[in-house]
Amino acid sequence: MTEGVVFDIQHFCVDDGPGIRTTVFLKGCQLRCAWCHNPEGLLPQPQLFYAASSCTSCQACASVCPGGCHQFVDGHHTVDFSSCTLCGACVDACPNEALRVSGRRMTPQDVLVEVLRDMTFFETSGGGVTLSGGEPLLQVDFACAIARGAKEKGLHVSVETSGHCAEEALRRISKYVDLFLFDFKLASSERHKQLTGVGNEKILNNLALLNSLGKPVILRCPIIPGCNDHEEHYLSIASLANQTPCIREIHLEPYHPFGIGKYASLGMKARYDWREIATSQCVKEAAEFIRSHTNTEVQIT
Amino acid sequence: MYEYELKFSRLRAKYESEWEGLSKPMREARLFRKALELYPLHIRCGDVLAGWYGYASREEMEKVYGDVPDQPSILPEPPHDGKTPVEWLKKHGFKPGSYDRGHYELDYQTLLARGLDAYLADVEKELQNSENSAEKNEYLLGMRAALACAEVFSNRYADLAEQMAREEADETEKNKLLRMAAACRKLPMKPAEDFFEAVQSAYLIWSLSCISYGTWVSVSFGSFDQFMYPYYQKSKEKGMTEEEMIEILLQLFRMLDVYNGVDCVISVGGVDADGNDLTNELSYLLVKAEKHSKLRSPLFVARVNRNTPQKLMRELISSELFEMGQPSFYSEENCLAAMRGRGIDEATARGYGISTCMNPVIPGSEVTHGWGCMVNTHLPLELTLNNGRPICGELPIALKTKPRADYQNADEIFAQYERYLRELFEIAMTWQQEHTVRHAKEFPNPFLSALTNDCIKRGKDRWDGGAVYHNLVIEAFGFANTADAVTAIEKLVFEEKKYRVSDLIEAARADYEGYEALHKDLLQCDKYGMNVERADRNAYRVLSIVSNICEENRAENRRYLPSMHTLWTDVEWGAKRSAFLDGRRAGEPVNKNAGPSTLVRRVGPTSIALSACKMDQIRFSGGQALDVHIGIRNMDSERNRDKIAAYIQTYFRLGGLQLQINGLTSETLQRAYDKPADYPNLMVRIGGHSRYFNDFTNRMKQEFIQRFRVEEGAFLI
Repeated sequence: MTEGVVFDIQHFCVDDGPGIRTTVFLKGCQLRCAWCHNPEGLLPQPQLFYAASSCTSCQACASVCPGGCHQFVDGHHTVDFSSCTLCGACVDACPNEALRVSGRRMTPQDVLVEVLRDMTFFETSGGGVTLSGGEPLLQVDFACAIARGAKEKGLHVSVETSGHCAEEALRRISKYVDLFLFDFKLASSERHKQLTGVGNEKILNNLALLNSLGKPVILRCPIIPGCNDHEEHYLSIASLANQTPCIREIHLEPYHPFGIGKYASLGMKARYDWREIATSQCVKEAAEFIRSHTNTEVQIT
Repeated sequence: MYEYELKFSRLRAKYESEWEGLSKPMREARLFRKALELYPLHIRCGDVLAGWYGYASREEMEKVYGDVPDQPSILPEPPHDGKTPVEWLKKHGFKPGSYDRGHYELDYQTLLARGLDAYLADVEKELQNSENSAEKNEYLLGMRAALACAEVFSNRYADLAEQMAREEADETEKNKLLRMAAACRKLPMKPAEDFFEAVQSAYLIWSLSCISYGTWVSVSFGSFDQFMYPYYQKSKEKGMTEEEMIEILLQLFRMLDVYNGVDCVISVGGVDADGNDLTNELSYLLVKAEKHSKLRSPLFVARVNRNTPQKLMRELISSELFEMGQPSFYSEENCLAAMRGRGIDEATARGYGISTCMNPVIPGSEVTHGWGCMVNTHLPLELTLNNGRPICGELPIALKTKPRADYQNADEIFAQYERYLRELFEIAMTWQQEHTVRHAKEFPNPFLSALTNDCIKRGKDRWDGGAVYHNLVIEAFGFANTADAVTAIEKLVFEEKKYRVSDLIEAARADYEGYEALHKDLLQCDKYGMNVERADRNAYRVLSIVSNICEENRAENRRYLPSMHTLWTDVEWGAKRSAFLDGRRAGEPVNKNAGPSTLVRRVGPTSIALSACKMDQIRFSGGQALDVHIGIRNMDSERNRDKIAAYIQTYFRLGGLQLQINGLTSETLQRAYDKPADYPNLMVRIGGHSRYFNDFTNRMKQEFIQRFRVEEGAFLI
């Protein structure tokens, strides 16, 4: 059976589609958004995750690591992530849960068992499962298998995508999907490339594909201070919604920098140290502005 | 909060020589009268209701007590020397409650309609009964004296209001004072006739009842929107505006907040005998007043049934209320089932009200010991597995249960567990009962007894067999840890044979120092709250044993009501306990209320609710509070609020009794921890109560933050 790599399964999510939902986070994404606050989703493979705040410098990890990845100098713990083979010895040895492996190989069946535990709540609230990431469609076989299985159980299925994926992948999964949560970050392809690493042509083509397939879409728009929090961008959101009938709603997501610490935990570097929070006032104004240019419903998540 | 209690003792010390030769009920009635005559009263500028008392200047108070020094609390408990069986139990956190002067809810519907004069007439009539014993007549005479002095108190307010009215230049204020004076001349002795009178009368009766015991802790109003509704309708017809009614309610809330703090329940909603929803205009008005008040008190309760209007749910699920730690949600259907489970007839059960601590009661017919016994659920497991001895500390007493060893499965463990728990419970309850009777005989409360069915008919004190229902709430402390320990033993000892039971005991005795690998194995076992079959089943079994023992000990009007309630004492209680077999280290908190142990990692609001629903909650009519944490960024969104409503309704449909939701994030709590001065009004809810975060010790704050982090993360991998 197809296996996939999942880095989190969260229960009781309210912002990822209708009703009470369980959201499955698939690992790996080709975009490198400067503001990304979920770095665990970037690389496709499992990674060592080290939470410095839980470490008591007991050095149990150093004593079991075959690769010498854990060094202690004056009681200060440094991790050489590049030499880590993910053998897991340090994770087992750590008494404080400061070390874990982020990302686990799972079968679609494993995922479904975890998801279906909340079946009662899905039934009473009209909820279901949301596949998110990372970019879930990079693991298309795995994602399709989960979506199909969930559909067979009668769940509402949502997919949250950056849109940067193969057209074929989108086409394949769409028959099991009730709702797409589709990201729209920047209108200019050049600026998109600058800040996310890729242009947005493919993304917009994929949105057009969903439109031609008649799949309901919620356009998800992160509002990032100093990046896209201006009227020109809001206007482009409204006009995209006006041109694309499959877009049922626009959701504005205020940016917050709370995930920034995770980069260090994974031995990665954030592209920018983006610390500014999108204030609720700013997002409310954005919503008002967009509402004045489109009839599509605008919500703040 | 307890300052007043001590002063009550001073009053007694000053005047008791005057009462020599009187019967005890008469002596207590005289003490009550003294308090009502002497207690400093106030009416503040802008007041609409009369009701401030106490909190006077030191000089003013000293005048009341004269030169009598502070007195120790009445009827002190024996020393905790640990030598007698019950003292040894107490040392281990297995604590029978000594005497409870709170945790009651009067029958305001009847009290408002009849007035206290009618109760006085009942006493007179009962005195005419020629078959009465001398003891009964003595008690009835005490009741008569106590009831009669209620108007001493209300007349003093009337005098004060009249005097202030004479001096008041402002016409509006003057009229308010005159209305207050007229009401206090009449109430609470006569029936109330409109909304203002009903609230004034209810508050006076509430105050009198608090003064009669010298404490206002855990004294509830219950179904306020129901018993007040006829008066509301009448006043509305007469033209009283919503603003005027809110003004009255807000002053009531302010006074409750000052005197009662956190634990006076006012509920909205319910169903009638035909299953119709009872939400009314007053329910919405109360919600509105509550949102306006921004106070801890009252403890706002929503009685939710399957037909509760969406409109009410949307009003209740609001960031304004959630930030104040309100409301607590109760399932109407399951509370009713719990009342029926007590063996109460249908019509009576339907009249239930919600009281503190978090339990349904029959208003005006119950005495409830809210902390009837804190049962240490760990101790019987320690005795079971450690050859009849606790893991740490001595066993200075002889137990009847014969120790055994070499268990092969969980069934054998639980069979022995039940024997030990039964024996310990009986020791605790025998002491409890003797102590209660001794206290009731020595310090009866003829005033409150007169307002409790059927004390007048029986001529007895409410705690001495007078009340129709005599309830003792039995709190199953640490039940989740106990269950988790058995789950771990099943896995690590019986199945994997990785350790022996004696290894676990040795490690726990060493507080897991030097046993890190074993400790980690324990942490990784399934636990209650993760919605995993075996772990939840073991929790069910621990709780079933507690309920079985409670139910088999029922006698006459006495019931033991099992409960999972810990309030916030899980931290304090845990701080005194040694390490336990589930991996909990010495001094760490035990599980909070109906929630999982603090060691559990993979939990969230859905798994916690699903685990808790597998428990037979309707047997836990002593109260079952579940605290869950839901971090929702946008609570203004109606859709998100409907999702929370769906969550609540699902929990209740699956058998949950009660629920409250913390809507805060761990980040907010962390900031409040770091800079308490910046968050003076931050409230968290716990065990059905709202408390200022800053009122907790740092240790309890840390426990909160840790719990929120775990539930927010809810990570699987």
